[in-house]
Amino acid sequence: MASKSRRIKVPDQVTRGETFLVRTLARHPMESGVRFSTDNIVVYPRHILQEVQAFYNGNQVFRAEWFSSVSANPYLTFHVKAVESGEIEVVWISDYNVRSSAKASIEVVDA
Amino acid sequence: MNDRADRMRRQVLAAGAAGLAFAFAAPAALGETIRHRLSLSRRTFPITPDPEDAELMIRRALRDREPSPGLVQMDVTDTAENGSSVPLVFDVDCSMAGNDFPETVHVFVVHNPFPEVARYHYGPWNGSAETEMRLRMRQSSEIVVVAEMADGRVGIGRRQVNVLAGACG
Repeated sequence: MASKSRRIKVPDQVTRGETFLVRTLARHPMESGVRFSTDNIVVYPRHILQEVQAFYNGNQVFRAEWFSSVSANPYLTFHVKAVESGEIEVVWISDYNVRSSAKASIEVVDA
Repeated sequence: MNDRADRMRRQVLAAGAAGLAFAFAAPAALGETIRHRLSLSRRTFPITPDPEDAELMIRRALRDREPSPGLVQMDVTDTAENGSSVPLVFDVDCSMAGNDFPETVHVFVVHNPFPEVARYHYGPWNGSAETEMRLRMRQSSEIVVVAEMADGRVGIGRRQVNVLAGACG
């Protein structure tokens, strides 16, 4: 499931062996589970993205575990070393086990 | 907060305290604080910050190892206007080759109801451990980043951040 609410940005072209930045943004309320309404004392149930995985040509290169204190619409950047041309896929897993992903292709050139 | 809400809140907190007592009676092999196990489950109820519990979680991440100085570098503002989105950049001073890379990096906010914010896992294929994220802070607090290296070293970085308007909740 790829949608506008999950975004990933990588450089179009990188030199082999160099490190490039992967920027990701998910649109999500990240309800922390500690907020409650003073009118009817209902605690808003926790609803967060609890895991982020990154795959480079199918191999997992990065994993994040998130808890309640990550901000809404979480922005995350990390680095990956360029090995070969291919695809970067980032998967977000919510605590209802709903998976959502975004993909971007990258071209690796020799210096 | 109105009176009824306050009464209900105290009841819920009492139930939480009963759960806490049960957790300490449970076998120590579970190895994590009750706060941490709650943050993993989808149980939700009002919970108050406990800096001592947060320090316990940080000690569990360090596991009695002596932190190497200068390993963790943090870039975070001293004064955050809005606690609901505080940018944090951290980096680990290492070569990211062989055994010299951080296996796990923990991020804690000491005065949050659930102090553990995130855990990041890296490998030599990352090239750099520099990571940026945004986190919530309920009140002015210390942000703690703990890096567990693959060769067994640990690094710790602490930065105090003043929050002008805390994240609601």
